[in-house]
Amino acid sequence: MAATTDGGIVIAGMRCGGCGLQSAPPQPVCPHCGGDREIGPVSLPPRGTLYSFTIVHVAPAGLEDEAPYVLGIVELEGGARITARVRTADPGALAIAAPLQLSEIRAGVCFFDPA
Amino acid sequence: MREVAVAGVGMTPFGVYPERRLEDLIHDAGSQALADAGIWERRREVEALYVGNFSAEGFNGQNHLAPIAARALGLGGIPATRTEGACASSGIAFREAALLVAGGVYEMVLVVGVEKMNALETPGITRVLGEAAHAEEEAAVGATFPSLFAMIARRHMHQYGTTREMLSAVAVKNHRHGLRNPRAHMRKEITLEKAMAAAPICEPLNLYDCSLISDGAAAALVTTLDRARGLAAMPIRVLGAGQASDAPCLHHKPDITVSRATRWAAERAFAQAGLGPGDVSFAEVHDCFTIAEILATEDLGLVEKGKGGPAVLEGATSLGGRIPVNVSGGLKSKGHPVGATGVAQIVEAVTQLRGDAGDRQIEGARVGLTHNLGGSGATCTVHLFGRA
Repeated sequence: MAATTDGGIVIAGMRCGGCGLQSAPPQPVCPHCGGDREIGPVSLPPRGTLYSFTIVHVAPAGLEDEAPYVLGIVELEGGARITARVRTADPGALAIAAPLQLSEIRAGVCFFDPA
Repeated sequence: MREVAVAGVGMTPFGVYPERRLEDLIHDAGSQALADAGIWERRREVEALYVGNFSAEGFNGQNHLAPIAARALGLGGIPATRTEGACASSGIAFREAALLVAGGVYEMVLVVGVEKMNALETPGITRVLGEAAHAEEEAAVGATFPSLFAMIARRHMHQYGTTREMLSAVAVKNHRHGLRNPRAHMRKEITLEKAMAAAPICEPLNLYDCSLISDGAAAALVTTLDRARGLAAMPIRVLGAGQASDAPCLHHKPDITVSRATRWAAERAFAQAGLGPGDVSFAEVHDCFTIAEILATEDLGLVEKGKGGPAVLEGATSLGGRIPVNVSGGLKSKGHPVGATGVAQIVEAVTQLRGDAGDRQIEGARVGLTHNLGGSGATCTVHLFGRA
């Protein structure tokens, strides 16, 4: 998902000319309308808001050491949504629609901080 | 299309059976269904076997399960096929069988759903279940099934005012129902206070919002209505069989509080049956998490959108209420051996429509609906059943 322009991190995504919606990651057909024409790559902005989230207390094998952690669906500026991690010292203060800033992409996983 | 019926059903009690092999569970449920129809001794009349199973490879290190199931039932030689659609694996298997009988390909098909989950510890089970989400876009990010439904729950609370109490009321109701089901995994009543105060799993969902990690199998014998009338048990008609797919990732759904696959599968099943939600006497829906039952009742049209939570609090979905939901105890109390769940719901629907459900019998039950969901809603099957 990572790409770098002007020293900032952006998220590799796509825009469908058929339905006009943006999404990530890039793929041969639009995940929203199923169309395959007028598909083009776009760099998605590293900013968005929290669409929904959860605090994971029981983690799957391999991630036990990281729990509790915040998992969220982030709606990026422009409308694309991705599943990502949110890093915050105060998960109790998080709320739907909270503004977020991308801080890091590690092994394909986007990590956001409260903006 | 020919009229199709369920001619026999069988089911193991759901529970924790680390000492029982997959084929033992398959044998118990499948042989019960054949004996119920009175054809165990004539079982070579079964022309095909469909096995719904999510992940015997993940839980038990066993792929290629269908011929093992055929051997376990003395049916070796016939076509044996496994279907996988996460927790909807055996709803899919049943629908395939019903379509093949309706279309005249086969006269008689046995469907078995099975899962043996308690071969791993909880983190391993959580990881295998997580494989029903998208590997790169969700699971690698740290998503688990409770976490996906937790995000649905938080959004539903935000959009419709659904409360912590409403979620817990689903668990309390289903445990109260399950107390009356001798084959339920956890026959234990729970209080609202205890359900609301349970340890968090993925906030806002806690331990009592989650269904059980169970082992078990369920089976149904599918044949033509004409043929079923000559067999031992009361035939129950298959009135409609709908299936749909939806985005495999929550982040690609326009509104995660809506299960489009549920709506589409239900529309197809209702259209086949010539019925609507108002004709349904009772429903067995996929309460893998409390919020999932609320979504299901809304998207099946049993209650208004956004009113699934209040309907539980008002008792509308309790045994004795306007539209009883999960009288078997549901996945929450009866248990959720994931690959067995779709057929187990059908076993309950058939049992209710025959009038054999004992002290959890729904009076005057005429049309039953079963709703089986896979993943976070990427797959759904809806079946409608009625008395012949």
